[in-house]
Amino acid sequence: MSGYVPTIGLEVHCELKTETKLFCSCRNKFGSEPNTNTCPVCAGHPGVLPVLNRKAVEYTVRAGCAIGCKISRYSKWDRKNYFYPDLPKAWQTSQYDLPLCTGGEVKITVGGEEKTVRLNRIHLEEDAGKLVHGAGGTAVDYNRCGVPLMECVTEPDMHSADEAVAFLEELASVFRFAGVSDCRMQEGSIRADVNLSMSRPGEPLGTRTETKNLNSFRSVRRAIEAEIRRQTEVLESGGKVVQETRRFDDATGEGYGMRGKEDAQDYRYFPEPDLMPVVLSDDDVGRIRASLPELARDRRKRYTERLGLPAYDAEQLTCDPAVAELFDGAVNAGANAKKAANYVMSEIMRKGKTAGEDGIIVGISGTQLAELLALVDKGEINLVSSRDVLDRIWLTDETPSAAVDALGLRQNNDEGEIEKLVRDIVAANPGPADDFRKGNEKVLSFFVGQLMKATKGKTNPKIAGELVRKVLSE
Amino acid sequence: METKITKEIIAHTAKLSRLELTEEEEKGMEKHFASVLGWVKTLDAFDASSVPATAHISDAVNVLRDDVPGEPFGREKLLSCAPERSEDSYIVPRVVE
Ligand SMILES: [Zn+2]
Repeated sequence: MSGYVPTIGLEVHCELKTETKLFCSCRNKFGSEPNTNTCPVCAGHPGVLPVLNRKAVEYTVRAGCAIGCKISRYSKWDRKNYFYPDLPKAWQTSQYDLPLCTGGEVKITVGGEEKTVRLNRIHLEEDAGKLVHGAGGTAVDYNRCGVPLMECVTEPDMHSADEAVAFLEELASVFRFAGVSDCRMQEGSIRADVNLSMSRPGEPLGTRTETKNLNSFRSVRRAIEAEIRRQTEVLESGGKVVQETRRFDDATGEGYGMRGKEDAQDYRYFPEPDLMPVVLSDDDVGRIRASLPELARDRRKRYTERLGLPAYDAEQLTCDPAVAELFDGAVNAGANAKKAANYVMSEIMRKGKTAGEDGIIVGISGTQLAELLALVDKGEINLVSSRDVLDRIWLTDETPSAAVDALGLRQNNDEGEIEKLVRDIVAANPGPADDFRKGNEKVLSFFVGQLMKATKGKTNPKIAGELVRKVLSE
Repeated sequence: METKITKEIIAHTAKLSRLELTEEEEKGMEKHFASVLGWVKTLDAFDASSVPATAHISDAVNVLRDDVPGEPFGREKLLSCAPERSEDSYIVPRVVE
């Protein structure tokens, strides 16, 4: 045993889901044609003036409120200078010494134990453009340049890859439920840098390295594990860890040092002369705090304690804010909590699952779901045909009742009518009827099947079973 | 505070700005930097002890706009300013990280 313990701090970048960019009115939209969401401001032309997006400030403050940050009453903008083609101005507009939020904490649960990870700060800055390296040169797309980006810096409070990933998952959940960021790894809307050092307990922290730009939870985990192995080997063979910026190669699973990366002082931060400071009153902060929706942790507590759901259900229902909203909407519209939970966890999750690791599409409203469940409850339709209804009303505002009629799915609950049909079928099948009377229970399902066939599945299966037994037993 | 402009400072600053200077240009820059710093030093003559620190010369704060998309500016107008371009992107010399 080496006895070395890792100490990990994270810098997490989250894109805000505003309509427009941070300093210009170009759209903040993923997946557009290259350079279509650009203008002289975000393309870095001389002589332009940036104007700050009010919503981006509100969202950052809301994020800060969600994790208990101290909200700055006075914050300002700074230029971080570096030359790289992803930033056409040759500086990134950011916040250096007076960020919007300071402090705060996130609670994580790892291996059944609750832990607190403290935050140092959250500041607001602009995202950079996207580079595509080709043989002849590098193509630059500035659609992402100027998109509002929150940088969340933690204290070095984590000591394993599990803790780091748990922190990222919880932070992403908080920001999604706060409605400030989609935190979609695939779209690069959440990315992390990992600061890591190794030390023996009781000894001062070791020299740290920074691994930049990890864009999936899986890469974060693998990069941390690789860096722990590497630093431990260096230290155990009597070497010294060099302070450096590193990259992690997902394909090889290994990290490598980047030469020529600037130090903090080389960024030559200075106050941004083109932007005025942001001053927030207690009223401003109070208003933004009041706009904060109920977070996943609070919802889980409410689902288990007030609605009596199992912890597993509460966990599933809060995997995504849209799912939790749907569930709450259905319960508010009168649905039984457990029945709604079951339906959401089975049918809705299955149908709404997207190809990637993040996100789920919820194609119906709480009201629609409540009505659909009521139709099943009243025996108007059965669970199997509810899927056809779901398919039809998905991403529309058609009522389930109208869909049932349009699809001709309404179940026959008229006992007199069903009994008449049962009698016809029994009369037409004297052989199996005799088998039943001799004690063969299995033929019951044969008669129910015949009945369903004759009525195209629109007979209430419960009533059908009862009546078949009744007629055969006469 | 006295900062001596050295060859190293010039070389480092040039590197950060991705400029390649000849030895002659470096020497010229050394003189130029020194004269700029000397000029800024004039400010030392002013007694600023009674002036509060500020991040900006203007008193204005909270210059904000609503989060409403504007008319698209037009990619072609922007790309036509680029020294090198493709159909839809800016082209720069291949950058190696
Ligand atoms: Zn723009």
